[in-house]
Amino acid sequence: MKTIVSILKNELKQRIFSWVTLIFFLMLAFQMIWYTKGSFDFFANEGVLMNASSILYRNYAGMGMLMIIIIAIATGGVLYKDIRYKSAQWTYAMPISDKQFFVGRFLAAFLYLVILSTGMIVGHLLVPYSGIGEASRFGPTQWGPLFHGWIMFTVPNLFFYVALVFFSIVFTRKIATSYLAVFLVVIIFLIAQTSYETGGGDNIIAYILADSGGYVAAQHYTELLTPAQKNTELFTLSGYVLQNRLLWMGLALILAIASYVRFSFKYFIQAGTDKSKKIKENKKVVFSAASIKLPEVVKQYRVPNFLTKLWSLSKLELMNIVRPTSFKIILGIILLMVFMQNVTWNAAYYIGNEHPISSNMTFFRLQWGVFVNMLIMIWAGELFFKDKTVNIWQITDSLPVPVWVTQLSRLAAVIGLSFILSLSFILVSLFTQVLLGGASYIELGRFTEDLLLYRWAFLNFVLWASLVFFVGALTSHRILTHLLCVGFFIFLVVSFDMGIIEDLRLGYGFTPGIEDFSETSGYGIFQQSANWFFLLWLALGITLVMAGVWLWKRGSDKKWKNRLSLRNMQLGLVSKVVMVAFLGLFLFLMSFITKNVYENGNFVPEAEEERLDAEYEKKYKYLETKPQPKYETVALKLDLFPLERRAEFSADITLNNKKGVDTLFLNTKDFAQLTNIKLNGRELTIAKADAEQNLTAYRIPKAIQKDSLLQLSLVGTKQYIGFVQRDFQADLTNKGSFGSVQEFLPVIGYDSDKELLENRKRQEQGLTRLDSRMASIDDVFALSQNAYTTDADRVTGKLTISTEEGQIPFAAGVLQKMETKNGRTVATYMVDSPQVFNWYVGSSDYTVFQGKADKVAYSILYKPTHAFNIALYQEAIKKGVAFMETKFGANAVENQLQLIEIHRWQDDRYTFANTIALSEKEGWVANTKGLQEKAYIYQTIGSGLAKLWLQKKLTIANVQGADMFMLGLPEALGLQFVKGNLGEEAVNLLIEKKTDKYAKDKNNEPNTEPVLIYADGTDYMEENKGAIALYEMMESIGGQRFNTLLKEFGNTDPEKPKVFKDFYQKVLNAVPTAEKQRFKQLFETTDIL
Amino acid sequence: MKLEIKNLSKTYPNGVQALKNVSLSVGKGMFGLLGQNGAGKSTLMRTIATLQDPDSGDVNFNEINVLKSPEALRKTLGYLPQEFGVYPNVTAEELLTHIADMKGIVHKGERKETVEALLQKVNLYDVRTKKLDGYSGGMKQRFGIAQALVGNPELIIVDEPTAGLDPMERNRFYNLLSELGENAVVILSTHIVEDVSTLCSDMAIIGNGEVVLTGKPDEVQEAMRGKLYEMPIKKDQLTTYQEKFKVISQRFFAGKLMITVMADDMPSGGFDVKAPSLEDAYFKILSEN
Repeated sequence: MKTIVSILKNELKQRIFSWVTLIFFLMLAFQMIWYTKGSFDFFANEGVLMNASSILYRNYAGMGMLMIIIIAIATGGVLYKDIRYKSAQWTYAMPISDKQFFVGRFLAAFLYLVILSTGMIVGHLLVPYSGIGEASRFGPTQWGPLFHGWIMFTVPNLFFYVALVFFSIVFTRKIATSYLAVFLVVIIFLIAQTSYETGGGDNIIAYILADSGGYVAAQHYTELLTPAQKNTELFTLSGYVLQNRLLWMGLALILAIASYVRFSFKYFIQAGTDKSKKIKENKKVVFSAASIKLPEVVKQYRVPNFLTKLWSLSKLELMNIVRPTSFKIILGIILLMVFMQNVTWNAAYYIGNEHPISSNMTFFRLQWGVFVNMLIMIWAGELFFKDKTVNIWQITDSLPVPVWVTQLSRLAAVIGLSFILSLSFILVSLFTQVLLGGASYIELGRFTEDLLLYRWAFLNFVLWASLVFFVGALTSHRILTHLLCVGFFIFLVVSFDMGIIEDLRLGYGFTPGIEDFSETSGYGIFQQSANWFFLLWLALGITLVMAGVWLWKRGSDKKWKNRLSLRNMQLGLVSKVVMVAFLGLFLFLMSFITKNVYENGNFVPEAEEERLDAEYEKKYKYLETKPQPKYETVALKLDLFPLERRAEFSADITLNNKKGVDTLFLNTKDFAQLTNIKLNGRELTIAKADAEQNLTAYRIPKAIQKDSLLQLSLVGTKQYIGFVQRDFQADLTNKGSFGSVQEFLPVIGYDSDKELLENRKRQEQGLTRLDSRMASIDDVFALSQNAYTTDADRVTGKLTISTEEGQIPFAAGVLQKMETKNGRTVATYMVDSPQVFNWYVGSSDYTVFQGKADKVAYSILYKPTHAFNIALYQEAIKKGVAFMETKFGANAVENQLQLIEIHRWQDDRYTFANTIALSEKEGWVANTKGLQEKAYIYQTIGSGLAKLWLQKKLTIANVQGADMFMLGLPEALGLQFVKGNLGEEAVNLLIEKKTDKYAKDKNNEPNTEPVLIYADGTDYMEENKGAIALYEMMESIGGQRFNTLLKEFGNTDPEKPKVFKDFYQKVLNAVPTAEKQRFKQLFETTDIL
Repeated sequence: MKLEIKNLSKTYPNGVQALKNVSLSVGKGMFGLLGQNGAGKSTLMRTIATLQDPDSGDVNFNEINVLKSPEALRKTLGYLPQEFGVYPNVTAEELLTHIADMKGIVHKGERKETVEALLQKVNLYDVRTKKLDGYSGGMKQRFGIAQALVGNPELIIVDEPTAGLDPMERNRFYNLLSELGENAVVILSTHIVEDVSTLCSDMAIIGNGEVVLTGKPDEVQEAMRGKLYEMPIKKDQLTTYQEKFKVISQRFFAGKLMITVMADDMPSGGFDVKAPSLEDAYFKILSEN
């Protein structure tokens, strides 16, 4: 015991009172402040405080990359230093017990980290004074969680890491394995965390248990808390958190005990001296009698000789990396994990399992690419400093070989290594795809583009290796190079992920839209953007490599003056000129991208967007109640040029002018321009133009101000210029255009879509807090408005849409004819009976399947390779049409229905005049062998048909509860449809999914969750809780009775905008008395399901 | 063939002045640079080997200005540093072939011949296919000299080559080094006097970054003939003798302390005449500095 105490005192004294410790401590404190800001931004709710207990717990569990780096570099040395500094020979010979020595050093390492980690506590305490938020964002200090979270997560995590590091060192007698072990654990954590966030659903327990730090468990825990609980909750050690802690603490104990048992002085002192390798010389010749003459040789030092050397050295260096067994083991582990990820990965977030199509087989790179990149950076750093590490540099640096030959050969070897890894990923993905039955879906082009280019793939690895090369040259220090490069990389990844940095010009190696691939339209405009951004980074990368050659420190104690001198010929004069040329190219590309992306208005930072929206509301809110004409009929001719991202349009519009207004306010979308505007044949004069807000006010001539109908003629264009960083501008994208008609036609009057709805953001922008995101049911003006669009009630029209040959255009309404002339395909659609004005248009290279469901002719427009579920969609359409006819006596679609596949990254579903448009992720590539996926397809069609019926039969007032009509009710009818066709089990699966989604998302409610009868347009509530509540009501009173009440409700005073609360009361009256209270609780409180 | 070092000075950032105006002229043959640890030998060696920049001064080898054209010197340089490592997972043959390639021997056949001859020369031919991390200290050192000889260099720098070697390995090494000076300028930097006396035809002693003596070892040695006397004394008498005589060194012999005294005439008190050695000259210089 005395030995242990003595070792502890000595070690802690040495370590704690040092500048390094103080710097680490301060950095940890700073990191917690920085992480708090990031975590806080994740919690959208206005009620969540910046020093909320949930944030504390998550920070303590995650600990941050800095803590991990400190663990990696500070822990192993505690045990290994006697070997490293060759003091073991006398230290281990002292009269002390080797087991006590081990325990002492173990405790010293652990306690040192524990003491250091108190910097995290200090950081949390400093958060309110750090200036990252206004005083109102902070509550009283959460003293309980401040220490409880640290004890629950950080302290055990540190114990685990110390056990892991000691275990690795004791069993391998190499300190390097401890770095590798920590690195692997971090990789597994990051994959678990990102998989949890992106994959969600079915594998939650696996992701939670795979994370050694408990961060995913803490994240899951906090997601289930209300905002108030998020602020003050003292976590209980139960459920997933308990399971996670038990698992990893159990493992930590096993590792610690195993190391304790294995460690002995006699065993450990052999570290670094592998006697099995010692070579015995047979002949001990001391003097050789004859002098051996060395042969005469020809030596050449010309550029072709050097190039040959570069090639042979590159091969040699590559072989040196890939030959050792350790590399094969690492590669094997990585490939196995990629394989597992591809096997278990599914898009459970949306529908469920998807077919093993090639684009699904390359998703893993979004998580793995980041980690493999880090691995390659470390590999690269080690290789560049190889001569220094093995101490052969004095020999190699004095050889007559230029730096560019030796160092570039190493860079080439890293590039070769990156290529081998990327190729291995392709091979393992192909293997997985074939294994899962996807042999016929193999698209080698997809693999090549995703895994060999620059979307966290091969070329990114090359770029970052180039940076390592440069930093290595700059610092001439291996560890510093690792820290700077990996640190900078993690800083960028985390900053972009948290939204702290948005501008990709600051993200070396980053390209836009890396995950925005759609089977329908590929990467769309992101392709062009990514190409330019990649060229930008490539130019910089080449500059860095050349500068690296120039500055590489050959020898020791080289003066900066000499290294930076133009006379330093490590880089020849011509090469220096080329380097400057590449730097010039980089600057030119930067300016080119700046012009095309930023100056052209293709990217606006979030804060600026919020400022603009707030300003719009401040300036024009008064228009909300100012009478304006409304759309009544629309004859639109729209010519799409998706390849050019351009559209030209003209429209003859009849405006309803019941109130007799004197000024017409038109809002246009970015990049749309009205080139000609006439009212009743007269040119209009501009009363006011606000270019920043895209709002123009036109004076209506006095003579026609009182006309009840006005004829508005518009001619305009929309042309996207430049390329993008964040938005994919889907309304005009090649083979996948899809957008609202009001992307082209103006919104009349006040555009409420621009309003900021999150109270936190509103307050930041100086706007008043919203009690509700929709008008109250007593608001007379809002009661008179249509909930779908405020500038139209019901509209009829004719839409003539044309597109490039090879694509099929579509629009809202009933297709009259489609023809190809002059190299363009033209379709004419009619909306004969008045419809709500939520119309969309689009164009893609569809395959069209046509069929008939009773009297309804239907067309299914889908990507040619997505025929997986066409038969199932047909089945659902036929049954859905029959369901609507049986239950409601009519179909809203009359005699024609379109079902259309749209871009993956659009909203999930759109329903408008005779059309249901479903995102690619909503079932087109789903594997529908299972009941859940099949039920989901039925649900989307059933609810889509119900939506169409409701849009036509029900006039919905623009007040609270409107979304229960627009979303909740059709979803509930969809459930009824599923139950009738697929049975109770199918409905239960869907309800379970909705329940989960509601439970998860409700806690991210940015404002205050409303009760169902006052639903105010949140994403998570109406479709989930609302649908389930209504479905339960149906079950309570019987489906037929419910449907009858709905029909009656719609038929009563059909033109009068309806309020959901009234319908609720009507149904509630029919509910058996014993159940009334339950339904009141469901609809009139925010109690969870 | 001549190496000219002129007024070389070097001060490290921590303030240590490693070289102070060092000037030397070294011709063909083996030149011994003798000095204590920390005297500045390695700094001088690294500077000549193009691995370090001096603050001032000049180094020329034949027509080559070493500081301005380091790449030219490297083409004709063989350098064995004081301490060096090897790539652990490669064999002696592979690494030597690699170095031969780097030294500009472009023909594969010549590379092979050179490597084989060198391995024979340093007695490593039998273990040429073994990984280098299994080599003993002496084997590594022999490998080091082999790599320095690749490409028939005209300037060879060997920095402390015998440090840490057992007597047999040291003998083996002397055998190797003895042939080096025939066709090249060889600088042997060492703190072991025996290395210089055994191998070198010319020498310099360096102390505290300064050249304190240059000459031929036998001349340096002979200059002291008739001036050295030795006697065994008790340990506690040392101070008394130091006060009384010019004691230039002391060593233990058969459990007794033997002191060496320098004087023009035989000192009284039982001294014996001592035949001078280079070591005595070295110690004399050290005692004076």
